[in-house]
Amino acid sequence: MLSPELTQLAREAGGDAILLDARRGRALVAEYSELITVLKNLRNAGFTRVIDFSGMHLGKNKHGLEEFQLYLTLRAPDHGHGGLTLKWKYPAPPVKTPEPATGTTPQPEDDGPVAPEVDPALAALGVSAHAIGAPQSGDGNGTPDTITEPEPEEVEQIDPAMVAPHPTLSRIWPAAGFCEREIWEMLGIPFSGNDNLKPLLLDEQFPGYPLRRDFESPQRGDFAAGLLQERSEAAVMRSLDYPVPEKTQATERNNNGEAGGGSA
Amino acid sequence: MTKLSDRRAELRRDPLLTEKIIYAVGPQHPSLPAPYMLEVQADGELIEHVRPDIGYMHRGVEQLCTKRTWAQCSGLLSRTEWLAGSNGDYLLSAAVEEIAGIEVPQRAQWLRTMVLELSRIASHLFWWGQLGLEAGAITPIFWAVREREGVIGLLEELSGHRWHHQWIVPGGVRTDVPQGFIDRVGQVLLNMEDRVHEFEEFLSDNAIWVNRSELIGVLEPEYALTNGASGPVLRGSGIVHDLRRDAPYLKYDELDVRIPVGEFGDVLDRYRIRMMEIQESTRLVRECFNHLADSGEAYRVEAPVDVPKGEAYVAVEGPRGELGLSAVSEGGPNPARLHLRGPSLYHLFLLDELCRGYLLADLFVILGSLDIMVGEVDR
Repeated sequence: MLSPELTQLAREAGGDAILLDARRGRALVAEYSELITVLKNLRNAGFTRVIDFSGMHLGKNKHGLEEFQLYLTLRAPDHGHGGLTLKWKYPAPPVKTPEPATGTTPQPEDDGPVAPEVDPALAALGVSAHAIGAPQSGDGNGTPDTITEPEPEEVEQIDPAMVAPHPTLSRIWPAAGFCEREIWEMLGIPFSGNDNLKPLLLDEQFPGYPLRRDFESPQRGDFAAGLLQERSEAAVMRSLDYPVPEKTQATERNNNGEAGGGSA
Repeated sequence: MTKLSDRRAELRRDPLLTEKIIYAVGPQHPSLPAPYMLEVQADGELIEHVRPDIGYMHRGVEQLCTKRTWAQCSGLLSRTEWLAGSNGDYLLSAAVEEIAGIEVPQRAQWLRTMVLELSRIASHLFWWGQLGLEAGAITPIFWAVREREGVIGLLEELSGHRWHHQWIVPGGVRTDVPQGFIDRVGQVLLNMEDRVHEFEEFLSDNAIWVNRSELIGVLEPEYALTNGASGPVLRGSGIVHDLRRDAPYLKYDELDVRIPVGEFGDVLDRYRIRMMEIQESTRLVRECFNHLADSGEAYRVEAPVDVPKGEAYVAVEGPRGELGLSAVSEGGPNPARLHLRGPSLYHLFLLDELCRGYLLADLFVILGSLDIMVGEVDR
């Protein structure tokens, strides 16, 4: 249970962005845009210990993008190590999918291919869509050539696994750094600003994100066989690249069957 | 208090500096309790960096939990903390009880408190033996395992299992204690108190051990706080924090929990704290005896198989520190998400700071003082 003192502390740090349920010591960050500010305020107010940072996959939202819930548990050492768990949804802002580009859409006057508009929110996610092979005029005067059917436009598919980077918390609490590594490998949320974002528990070549709801285990044999093959090839390459040291006096003596190297 | 920077400067004055080399300690190594790898960069005999590489024992416990019922998850969580498996059982039960709003009978709470303290004693005894091995002494592991056998025997009598008891279940405990059990616990504790004094005489005041542990692996309190340390590692640095006192669960608010703390944050402080905790836990178990007599007869209430929607974060002061469980239920027999917060994961990543500037020979003594449980780390 959150003490009245801690409740007040968290309210002051979070302002209106935190809606506290003081009975359970849990809080909901209401506005994502203020998240980092709120977290910094909490750290400055005394919540200097990060106890846990984890996430949960909620599934696809109505726009087809993966949605997550993140949980952060903090403790305040100067206030009897009282604890507080914050949670927020990620990504928070609603995003729109781009209108599907169709071949029958009338093109503007200019001849070049035109990219369909990309929603700014999607652009922020790193999603781009561009048109390739828009119909060209045949003679340069605007008269269509014999080709009557336009070539189908190729629109880059949105990778459903793609998630916008979440700002790192490791600059506020260093201990959050390897929690982020785990969230990244298990759920697929990248963290911008975390320079050490590499797998913590899984193999570097493990396919997929095991804690997503739609995760299907890879075929064990296929994964292991491919991995072993790649590793053995990599080992051969390393051994070829490895500089051969020149023979020292000690090793020469050993090769001649005499005692050398100083070992008993 | 000796600053770490002073200690490093002192070691840096050593003229015997040689070329840098990177050692791979593990994943299979006689001094490691379970498979993980330490990439140790050393300048001659001085450690410069230690980079833990984990995941060799990753079993996907959290993912498996989402495919199993709540009761089955208890078995999986117990196997992440095999030296004190009752902690995992308790965490799962506490999460279900908090989400479902179940009131646990008084007797069950006292019995749970007693079993958790017995588990702490068993875990600390094994740690003592293992630390002896890390420091090059063979005798402690034989003595420790012999004494621990008494405690394991008691837990086996309760649950039928030596390691993964699953005796603490949602709603209470699986069975009441058998007849004469309390007397037998008293006998084991009485015998053990004598033995622990013997251990103290054997190792705690041993000049070789003190020389190898004093002002070695110093952890500054600020660093410990900001990097997620908890339990004896945090208390060794002089921070007075114990969930049994600061966020009491079960019946700890009715017990007189005394918290030993260190002064210098070195290996010796962490060692002494754990040795004192064995004695403190013995005393707490005896206190539980006094309350058990008038705690009623009910030891369990029915808990639903389908847990309603809800979330909970429950934590226990385990032998190694704060062991927490984030649980999310969307209704039904399976958890939607279980996430285990193991203290050893955070402590393992303290190694780089703890070992920097010390000798290679100190690495395993420092590692032993952290009491890493790889089941929590890899999950």
